[in-house]
Amino acid sequence: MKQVVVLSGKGGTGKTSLTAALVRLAGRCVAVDADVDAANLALLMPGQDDPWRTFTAGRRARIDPDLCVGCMRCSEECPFKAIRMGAAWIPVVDPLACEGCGICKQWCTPGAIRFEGHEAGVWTVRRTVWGPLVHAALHVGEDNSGKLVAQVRKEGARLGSAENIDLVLVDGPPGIGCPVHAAIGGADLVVAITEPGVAAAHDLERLLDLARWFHVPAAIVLNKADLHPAASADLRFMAAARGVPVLVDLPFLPAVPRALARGRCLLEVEGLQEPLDACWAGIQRMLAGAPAPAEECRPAEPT
Amino acid sequence: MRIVVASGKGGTGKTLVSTSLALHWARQGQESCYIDADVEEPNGHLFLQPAIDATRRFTMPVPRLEGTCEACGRCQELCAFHAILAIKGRVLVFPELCHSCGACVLACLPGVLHLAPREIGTIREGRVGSLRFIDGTLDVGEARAARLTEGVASTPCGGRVIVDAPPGTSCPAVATLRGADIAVLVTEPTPFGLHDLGLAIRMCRSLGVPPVVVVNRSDLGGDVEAALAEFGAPVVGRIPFDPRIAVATAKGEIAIDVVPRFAETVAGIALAVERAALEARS
Repeated sequence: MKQVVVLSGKGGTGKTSLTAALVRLAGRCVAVDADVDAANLALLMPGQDDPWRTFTAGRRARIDPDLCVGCMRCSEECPFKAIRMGAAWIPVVDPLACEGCGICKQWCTPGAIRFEGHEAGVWTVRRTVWGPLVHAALHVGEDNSGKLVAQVRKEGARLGSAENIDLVLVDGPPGIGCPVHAAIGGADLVVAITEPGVAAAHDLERLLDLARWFHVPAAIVLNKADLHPAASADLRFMAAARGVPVLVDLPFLPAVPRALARGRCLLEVEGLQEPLDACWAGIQRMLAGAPAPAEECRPAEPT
Repeated sequence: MRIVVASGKGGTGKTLVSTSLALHWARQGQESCYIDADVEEPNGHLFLQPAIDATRRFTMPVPRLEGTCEACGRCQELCAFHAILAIKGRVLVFPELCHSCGACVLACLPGVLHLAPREIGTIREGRVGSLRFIDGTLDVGEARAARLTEGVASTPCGGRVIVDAPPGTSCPAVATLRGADIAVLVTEPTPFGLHDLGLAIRMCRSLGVPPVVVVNRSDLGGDVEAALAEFGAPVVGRIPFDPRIAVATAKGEIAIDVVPRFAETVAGIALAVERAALEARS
């Protein structure tokens, strides 16, 4: 089973739109939405959801008002400043600030503090015509997004083996932090979608460093390449210097956001079918272990 | 006044809006400070080109053994994050799991565990003319972005503070919103933009920060007026798609200097944000 993860560093460069198109080109695969705090892939993959399952991670302090004597030692000792005086001289816990470390409990002489498992999000499997989609929603303001990403990826891999599907396509989160680590670890290929410009280029370089850190090969999709050809040439030069192939250029088309607004996929936009086919072919070549074609690696003239 | 520019969805234009607002206010003579709190992918410096006058490494405390461990195992037992293992007189720390709470140090009866700083990123301070500039950059390979985000966002500064928040609605975004007077949520008129805007509005309300909305590329997408009205957060600005803004941004130029019409839009947004923040305060 091969696992391909679509990432970008910078947000909004087209990860989800590209993933939805690749899912359709693959015909049958397991799709995983690993952007758990802003999950959007399900909007482009209609189908029937299984019942939502809860995702528990970490724990939160609970103070029993009948046992609490109001000494406020817990509040003084809390390293996260998560406990403050509430009404009736009873301390209250801010569930968004509490990280569940347990220090308050160590100091609580009357034993009024206990810890409860904490629901950090929900996840489910959606049945679609292209195969199962594992998607999740982290509750607002939670940490543990990395653990939920690990959970949906594990379920994706499990479904792949159980249903004999040899490709898992992962729609990744932006950035290069904890949830991205969970999305990238053990993947076979990173498809980095980017756009011309200083911000996306800067973020892409950090992402490629991270992929190298994880020993996962990467390939680039250059979205909206014609919006600024000189910046696209710079990106190509940087990619060539790193030996990362550019699979395809996608043009900027105002029809794209309009199509997305109607819930349509990129493949339905005139002029995108052909480059997306090329992109999919490039991904398949890389998964098969073939080196990228030489012309794609030729450095462009720096501008 | 503390203004946080956030969005659920990435790439909607947080940095464009926050750098433009910060420059606008600074040029009006307001004491202003721009903080780039998107430490995983900080981009504000690419546009503002600040003169940096201070750089410091940011650390988070993690346990370190200094002395002879008696292998009682209490540190391991009391660590809620499974970040420490005590095996036969040796202590193994997993810094990417550590929350720096110090429970292990409290638990250590012989008192040989101490918290020692571990570097995870860099905080820089500088100036862009009269505008103060602060940003943070997470080291590649580090996982605990929220710690650095908090460190950057809480750098003391006065006057009008404009914080460029990380995308999403999880802990790093929440860390930047704490203590804000108002949140400016940047979205786009697509189902993705609206879905994530809904999450961001919920995040703001759960933290008691009033949200206002800016719709970027407002003419590229669908009709979202009804959906926006349903959220109940006032729309303070619409930025129509303009290829000149896209090209200026790609080059790293300041879009309000290149596209006069956009400068007017920003001035309008600035005024509406000020008004909304003052209304929320009273």
